[in-house]
Amino acid sequence: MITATALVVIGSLVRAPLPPVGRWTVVGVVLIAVLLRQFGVLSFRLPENRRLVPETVFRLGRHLGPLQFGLEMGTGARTYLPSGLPYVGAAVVAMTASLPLALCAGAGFGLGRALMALSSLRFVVSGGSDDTDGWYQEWRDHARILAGLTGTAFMVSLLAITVWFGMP
Amino acid sequence: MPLRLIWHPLTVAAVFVVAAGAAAVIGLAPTLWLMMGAAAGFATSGST
Repeated sequence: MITATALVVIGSLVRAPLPPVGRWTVVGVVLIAVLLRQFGVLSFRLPENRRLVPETVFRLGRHLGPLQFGLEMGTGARTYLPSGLPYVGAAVVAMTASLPLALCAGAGFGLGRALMALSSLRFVVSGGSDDTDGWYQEWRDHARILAGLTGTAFMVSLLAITVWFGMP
Repeated sequence: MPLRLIWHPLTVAAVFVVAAGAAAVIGLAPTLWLMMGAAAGFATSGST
């Protein structure tokens, strides 16, 4: 939500001189570029801070430690991003979203990340014990299908936004 | 349905698709933006 707010503030300055068609054109360009990169047609690096959150962050205790961890990951201050969807989402938020809707998108992003953590903890291998490594191995084994499913969910939502609400 | 299947990443991702479809039909803006963000967030699974 912090990042979404920042995107709206910065995006409001960028989008101000652009007509609605221009704003959605920017979104379309970002979307096409990310898709082409995803399918290997284009090759370029997307900006990401390729550093893991250090374990020393948990020296702050059981409450402040996870809070700092979540802030650093959630705002993108430190993270690897194996998917281009956040970049498309960022473009959509920056170019078209009002602050309340940007906050919804930000909350959704956090929900998706939280669901990742929750499902990995709840995943039970056939041995009957929690095995988060097993969940991540399953993710790696089905990475292409998962990219397709999450991309489909993302695009369905984005298309519905454009169909229902047009070009704001 | 075994817990292993309920929380499998494919199951969760499939639920995302269904939920996004339902949200698309209903057409509520906050829900659509929430789903779009959630799909992007879940797509980054595997990164830390």
